[in-house]
Amino acid sequence: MATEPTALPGQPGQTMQLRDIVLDFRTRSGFGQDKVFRALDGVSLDIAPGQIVGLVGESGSGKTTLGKTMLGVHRPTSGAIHYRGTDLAAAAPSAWKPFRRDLQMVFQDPLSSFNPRFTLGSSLALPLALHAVVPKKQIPDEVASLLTRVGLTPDHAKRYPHELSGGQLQRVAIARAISVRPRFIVADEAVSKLDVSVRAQVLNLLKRMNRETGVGLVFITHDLGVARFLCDRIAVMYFGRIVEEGPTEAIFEEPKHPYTLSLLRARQHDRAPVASDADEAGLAIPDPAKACHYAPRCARRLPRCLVERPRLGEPPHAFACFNPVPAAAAAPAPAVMKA
Amino acid sequence: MNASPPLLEVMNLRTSFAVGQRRVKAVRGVSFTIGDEEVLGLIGESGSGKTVTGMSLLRLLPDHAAIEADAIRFRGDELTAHDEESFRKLRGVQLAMIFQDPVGSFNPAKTIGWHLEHAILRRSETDGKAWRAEAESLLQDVGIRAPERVLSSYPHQLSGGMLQRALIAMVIALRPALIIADEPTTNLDNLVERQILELIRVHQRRLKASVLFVTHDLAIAEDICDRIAVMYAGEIVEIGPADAVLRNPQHPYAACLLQTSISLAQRQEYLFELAGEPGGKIPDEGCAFAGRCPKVMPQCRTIHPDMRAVGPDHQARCLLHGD
Ligand SMILES: Nc1ncnc2c1ncn2[C@@H]1O[C@H](COP(=O)(O)OP(=O)(O)OP(=O)(O)O)[C@@H](O)[C@H]1O
Ligand SMILES: Nc1ncnc2c1ncn2[C@@H]1O[C@H](COP(=O)(O)OP(=O)(O)OP(=O)(O)O)[C@@H](O)[C@H]1O
Ligand code: SF4
Ligand SMILES: [Mg+2]
Ligand SMILES: [Mg+2]
Repeated sequence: MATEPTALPGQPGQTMQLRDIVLDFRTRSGFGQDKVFRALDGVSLDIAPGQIVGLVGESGSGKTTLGKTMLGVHRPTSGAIHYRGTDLAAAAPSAWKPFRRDLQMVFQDPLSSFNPRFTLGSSLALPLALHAVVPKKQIPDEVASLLTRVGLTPDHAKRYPHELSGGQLQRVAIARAISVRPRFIVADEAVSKLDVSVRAQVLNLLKRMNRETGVGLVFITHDLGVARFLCDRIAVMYFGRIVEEGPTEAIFEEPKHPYTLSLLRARQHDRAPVASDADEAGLAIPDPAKACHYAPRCARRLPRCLVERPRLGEPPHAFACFNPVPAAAAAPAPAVMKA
Repeated sequence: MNASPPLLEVMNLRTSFAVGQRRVKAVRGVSFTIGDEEVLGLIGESGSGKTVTGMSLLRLLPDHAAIEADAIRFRGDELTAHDEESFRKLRGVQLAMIFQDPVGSFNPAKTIGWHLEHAILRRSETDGKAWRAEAESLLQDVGIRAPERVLSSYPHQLSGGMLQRALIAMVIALRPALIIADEPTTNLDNLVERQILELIRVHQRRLKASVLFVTHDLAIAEDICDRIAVMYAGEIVEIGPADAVLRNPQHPYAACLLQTSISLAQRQEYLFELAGEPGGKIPDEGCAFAGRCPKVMPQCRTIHPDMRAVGPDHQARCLLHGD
């Protein structure tokens, strides 16, 4: 029972708009100077209420970092995060406070996101009490019903995090995120530890929730089949940048960026070498900051790619590439094994 | 019999945990063998006991776990007879595990370089200084393009997939005879995943290692495994050659897994769902899957099926198959 109406899609000002987000991590090198690592390099993205946006791309490309930045876990070095009339990027951490309930995250590593000394029941009860989602007396029932919705049993409430399998804990994390009826959920590899049959159940649940309550989802996944099933739009990341972004079908049917194409191709388990990976050796790039990040590995590289950085083009189907894949070359790849 | 014993032989493994006043039976009589240079896939429901099976074999479970088995033989050597001290020498050198959750395998206060150094130096033949070059080349093998940065990073400074790959590099550095790989590629994009699977395959052939490969990805299972075992509720319900199990599954649970995976490829608004609750209570008698099985028969609720032959080297635990 909600004590507050859930968000409905399409309300103006409620789209989260990321503009030119740069995020540098500083690490101590031990000898005086700090090293800087640019994890996000000018990322812009809109997440409208009710939409499911998939974030796919290379491991280490910044997907988790981007997700955490959207929720105020990391503070961007520069750029803007417009949400409900505020620029959260520039504001003090306390500016996030009114939106804490609105914005929930399912972390990639569920074990470290639970307090090991609390039973899972207490971990689920805490946000319910904090945000007064249901009257106090109903909390145990609500916890039981949440666990059932993600395919667990009320009995699991008595267990501690390390007493669950990887996939079971991942589902408790999903239950916790949906429990406070947020407006947006960033779900980081939220179904990757589940067998296909439980995965189907959880994906159906997320889709149904999205359709019924209008919750917006940023769905980080490396599973393109899952992304295709669930997402309305997909953004492909490579080395701190979005290199392609568009409606799901367009990404699958007409990938434009050579990296997207090679990701799609790699799903065909044909054991052929990955064709688009060019020879990296012996490339002279005068200034890597001004070149296309993908150039060293790109099979479609032009001389221009080594000296100029391609900008992400215009929506609805945007891509950052000087020599995009022609339509005919991108015969769609099956996302999942044929029977 | 005069043939040499299989690399690993597990007979009737049972593992349970004390949870409050109750005992949770996580593994209920699991038996299998892994031959030399063989990759055995382990697939099955989330919570069915795949990880606990692997951890039981390597004695990596906490104290409130009780592990019993009729036999666990490694090259004919009865592992249950080893004391902690001598078992520790086997683990990490002969037997190693790539965990589902890589964070737990690292000391958060030490760099990746420190971890790799220790793994490499554990193999006594490497001299003190050569480790760094080997570490860098191992990281490159797992698709990490800036090995120096990763070597000097702490675990929390790496992405999920980078950490997973660092762990794979660490295990490969040990050159074990048996690798238990628990969902080693769940955090990786397709391209890197392909590269890692290739690496495991090459390593496995070059060093004549065997692998117990836990995965949820049926396409990967088909690609990398010689044989596949399907687990449900703490039991192996089907085992056989990879293509037989995946293309012609004989146990209704295995068939449901396959059907779901196909429904994902068919672009439906909602996916095929197996009826009933996963992870529910296991009945005291009868088939553990009876409550959810689309082909359930009256006798399934009372008779606990044993493994029955359903094809060459292929068995299923289901009463549909007469004995
Ligand atoms: N706290 C940190 N300090 C320093 N560097 C960091 C930190 N967190 C992340 N990084 C670096 O930022 C980059 C992006 O990491 P991120 O976790 O966002 O990647 P990802 O796209 O989620 O990858 P994966 O698919 O492997 O999870 C990586 O190179 C990582 O090493
Ligand atoms: N330390 C523990 N204490 C109590 N119960 C446990 C413990 N570890 C695992 N379990 C239980 O044992 C069962 C088997 O868990 P296991 O981790 O082996 O599942 P799994 O097949 O690896 O699942 P997944 O695919 O989700 O990783 C689960 O029901 C789990 O809750
Ligand atoms: S801009 Fe050039 S190098 Fe970059 S992806 Fe396109 S073709 Fe390849
Ligand atoms: Mg990540
Ligand atoms: Mg597991």
